[in-house]
Amino acid sequence: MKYKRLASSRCGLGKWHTLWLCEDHLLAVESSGYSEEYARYYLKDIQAIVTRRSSWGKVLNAVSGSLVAISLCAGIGGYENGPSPVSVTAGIFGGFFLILLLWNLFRGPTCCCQVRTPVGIEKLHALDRIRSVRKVRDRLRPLIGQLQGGITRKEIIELTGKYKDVSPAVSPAAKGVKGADSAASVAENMISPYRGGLHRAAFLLLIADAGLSLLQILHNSKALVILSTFASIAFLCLAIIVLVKQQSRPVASLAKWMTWGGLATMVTGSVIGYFFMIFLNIGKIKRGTTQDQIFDFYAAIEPADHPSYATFIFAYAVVIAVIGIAGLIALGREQRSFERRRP
Amino acid sequence: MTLTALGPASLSCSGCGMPLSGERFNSGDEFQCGNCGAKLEIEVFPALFRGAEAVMRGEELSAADEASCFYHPQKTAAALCNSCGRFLCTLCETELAGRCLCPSCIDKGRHNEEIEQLVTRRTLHDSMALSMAILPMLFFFVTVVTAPIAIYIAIHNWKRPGSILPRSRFRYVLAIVIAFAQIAGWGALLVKLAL
Repeated sequence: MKYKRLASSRCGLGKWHTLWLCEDHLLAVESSGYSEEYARYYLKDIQAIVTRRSSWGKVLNAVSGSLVAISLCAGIGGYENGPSPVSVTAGIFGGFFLILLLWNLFRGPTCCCQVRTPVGIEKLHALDRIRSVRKVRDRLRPLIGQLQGGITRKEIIELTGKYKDVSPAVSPAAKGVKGADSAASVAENMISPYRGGLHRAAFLLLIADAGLSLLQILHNSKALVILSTFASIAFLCLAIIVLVKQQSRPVASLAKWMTWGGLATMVTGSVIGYFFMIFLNIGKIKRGTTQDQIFDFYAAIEPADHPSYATFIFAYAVVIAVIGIAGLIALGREQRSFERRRP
Repeated sequence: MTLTALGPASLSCSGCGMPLSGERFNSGDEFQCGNCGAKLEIEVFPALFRGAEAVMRGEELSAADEASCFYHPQKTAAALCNSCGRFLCTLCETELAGRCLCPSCIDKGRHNEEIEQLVTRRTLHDSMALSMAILPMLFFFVTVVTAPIAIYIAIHNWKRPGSILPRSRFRYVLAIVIAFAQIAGWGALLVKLAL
C-alpha cells in the first residue's frame, strides 16, 4: 500500500503524530519511537472536518517572548565592563527562546482539528496548525468528492436547517451526544455566567506583585520581600485553581492565555530571582540557612548597586503588569459582550 | 482513542458543544461560535447527510439445488471467499483490500496480522535494535553485553513485519554494523591486553 505523508506534529515527550494518505483512506499514526498505533479514516466515510483555532500558539509566543525579553534585559544588565557569566548565560537562553519564538511564528496559528465519521468524532493530532489543515483539506476535497459526490452550500443550508430551530434539549444532537450535554450547560451559563472573579483576583495579584517589585528597585526591604513572596505564592495557588476552572467555563481566550503567561513568567522570574540571590550572596549561604535568613539575603541586595538585578526586576515587573492589565481588559470585554448578548 | 456518539446531520462547536447552523459551513473562511466565540472552520461532505445504509439481510434460499452460504445454510450464496473459497451470503461477505473475505478469514488475518488494513499496532524492532546498539555507547563498558543483544534483535526480527509505513531495513543494517564494530573494539582491546 502506498502512503503519502500529509502532516506531522510532535506531542509531548517522545511521542509524535503523523497523518498519511492512501488511495482510499487517511492513516493517523501515533508513534512512540519503538511502536506505532494506527487509526484509519476511510474517505468515503468522512462526514466533516472541524477546525477550531486554539490559543496554544499565542501562549507559546507569550511565554517565549517574555523569556526573550527577560534574558535580553538580564544580558544587557549583566554586561557591565565586558561580557560577564550572567550576560553570556542570558544570551544563550535568549537566543534559544528567540529561535523558538521565530519557529512558532513561522508555523502560524495553532488549532484543534477533528474528523467526523459515522461512528464518532476524533481528533487529528497531526493537524495542529491552521495552515497545514487548509493544505490537507484542499488535497482531500477532490478525493472525497470522487467517492461521495459534490454538495453545494445551498444544499448544506437546506439540510442542516432542519435542525436549526430545534431547542438543544430536544435536537438530535442532544440525544447521547457528548457535546449536547455541554450545550445544555452552556445554555445555563448564558443565564448564570462565570463572572471571572478568580481570574480577576489572579490578575490583580500580578499587578500588585509588579508594584511591589518596582518598589524593591527604589528601596529594598525585608517587608517588601515578604509581601512580594506572599503575592507570588498566592498567585501560583490561585492560578492552579483558575486553570482548572477555565477548562469547563466560557472564559475569554485572551484571559485564558494571560493566565498561562502569568504563571510561566512568575515561575521563570522566581527561578531567575533565586539564582540572582544565590549568585549575589555566594559565601553567605550555608547548610542550615533558615527561610528568615534567605529573606534577609534577598532584602540585602540593593538593586541600585547591581544593575543586572535591577534590570531583571524591572523587566519582570513590566511583563507581569502587562499580563495582569491585559487579562483584566479581556475579562471586562467578555463581560460587556455577555451583557449585550443577554436577552 | 475515544469515540463520541453522534446525532444525525448536526455539528456542534468543538469548544463549547453548542449546535451550529450550516450557513457558514464550506465557506473556506473562519467564523465565530455564537456562544463561546471560538473561531471555527467547518468543511462538510455528503456523507454527513447520508442516512444509515439499509442492513443487508441476505436472500433466503429459493430452490434446494441453489448454493447456500457456509455460515447461514438458509441463505443464498452470493460470493466466494477469496482466501478459503467458502460460499458466502451478502450478510457474511466483506470487501477488504480489494478481496472478498469471510468472517473467519478476517479474524485469522487480524490475528496473524496478514491483512494490513486490520493492523492497529506495530512494534518497531529496527528502532529497538538501533537504540540497543547506539545508546549504551554512553557507558562504553556495557556494550560488551548490549552489542550481541542488538545483533540478536536485528537478525531475529529481520523478517518480521515492521511499520506499515514506507521504511527500509537501514536501521537493522546500521545496528548490526555498529554492534559488530563494538565487538571488534572489545576484541582488539582484549588482544592488546593479552599481548
